[in-house]
Amino acid sequence: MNEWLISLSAVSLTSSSQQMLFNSVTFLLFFTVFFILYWAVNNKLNVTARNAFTIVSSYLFYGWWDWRFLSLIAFSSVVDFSIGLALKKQEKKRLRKVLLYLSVTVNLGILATFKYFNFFIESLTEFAQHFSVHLNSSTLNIVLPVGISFYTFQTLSYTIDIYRKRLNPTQNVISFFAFVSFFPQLVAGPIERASNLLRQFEGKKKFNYNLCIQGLRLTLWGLFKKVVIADNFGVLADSLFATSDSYSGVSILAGSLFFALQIYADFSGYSDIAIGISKCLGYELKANFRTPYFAKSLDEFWQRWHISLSTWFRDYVYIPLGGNRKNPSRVHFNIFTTFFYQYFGTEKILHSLFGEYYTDWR
Amino acid sequence: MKLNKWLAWPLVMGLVVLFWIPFRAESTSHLFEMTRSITDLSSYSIGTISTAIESYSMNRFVALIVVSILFLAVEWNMNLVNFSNWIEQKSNPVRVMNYYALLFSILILGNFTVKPSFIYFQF
Repeated sequence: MNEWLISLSAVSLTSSSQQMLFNSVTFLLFFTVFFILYWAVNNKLNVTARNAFTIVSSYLFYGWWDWRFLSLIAFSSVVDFSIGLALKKQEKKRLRKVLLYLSVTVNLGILATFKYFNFFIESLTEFAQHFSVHLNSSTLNIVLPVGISFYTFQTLSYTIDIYRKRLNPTQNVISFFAFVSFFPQLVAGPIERASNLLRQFEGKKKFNYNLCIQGLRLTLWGLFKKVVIADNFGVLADSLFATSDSYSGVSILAGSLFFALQIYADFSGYSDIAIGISKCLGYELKANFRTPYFAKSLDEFWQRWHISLSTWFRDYVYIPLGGNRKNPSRVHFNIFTTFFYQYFGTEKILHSLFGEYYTDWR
Repeated sequence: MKLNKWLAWPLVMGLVVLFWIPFRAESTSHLFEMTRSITDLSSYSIGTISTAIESYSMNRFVALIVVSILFLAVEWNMNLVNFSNWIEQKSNPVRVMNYYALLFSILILGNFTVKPSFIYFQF
């Protein structure tokens, strides 16, 4: 048998991973300083200066995680801001479509490269091995940039809404950059629409004591969910799933129940903190969870879990595919397609289940 | 068919809990192994659970379970509004008591020893 040795790539980016988590002392210091300066800048200078300060701070926040990926956010912002303006000027239907496709291709191209490149290369290598073709994929350690899906969906919705003539593009590049990089929701959502958040960057702000108190309450609740519920049940779930040699049904069910509590408290806790600190700065973000574990049907669960993503898929995938206005088989296809990405969209589950498919088959 | 709400939500929650299992599978064969264990009633023993919670003192574990039940009770009671709006409707003493309860829970039960990222960062 021939053995081919093909080096597939030498791309190697490893994470510097100095994380500024919402439950860290670093973030507490960062936010305290930001909060004081933000309101000082807001009261003394104009809207542009306030937004510029927000951009610099947001880039600092993101750069703390991994400064190398700042260029991706900046690039995404430049592309979609420019395409937004071009769409406004362009009346020809065909050219408008080209501009839309350009935005979709660039955004999803970046997302697919960083999110699925490793997975596809590994699958290809394993598949090729089945035919005795040995591909040497010299470790493709492409690190997934934190929050890439969130800001990609956010900027995509901006251009799609302008294409559909449901939104007027902003002329203010500073506001747009602040909208894309706003640090409270940059790395894990909620995924905001320009129609809600972008316009909030364009007006003057006045410190609102009641809104700030509401924000602090939500932040406290989110912190409780994160450090008490999520991080404790996370440890317990990990221990239960780690004892794989002696699996009993009850340990898997208990592990899964603990994991269910962990993932909900982790993600909704993060969203609560994001919404809470945004309120302290005078911004209103959309709700992302509405007690989903008390839903009375799977439909209802879907409407109450990660709402900003579900509604994004409803508006930009499900409805354009025809929604429920088509024949039953097409409706099922539309539901399946929408559900497929949301459930299997995480690299983790794709890798877990399908990455080893060929290995199991062999 | 419309189910009674007291029957519907545990059924839905149970289904959702099962949906999370593939997220913890290492491979398809691992997933089949786990599925087989769940359906095999003879594999049901609480031994593995007690091993898994060894890292927790019994007091801490009980406190965590009690706090979690209270947490779910608050979530149930919030009925689609967020915590801030829910607590705003309460009387002053209840509000203050809630704040203290949350702060004490964070300080006493909060897990600051591990530094796991927020799970959805991988999304």
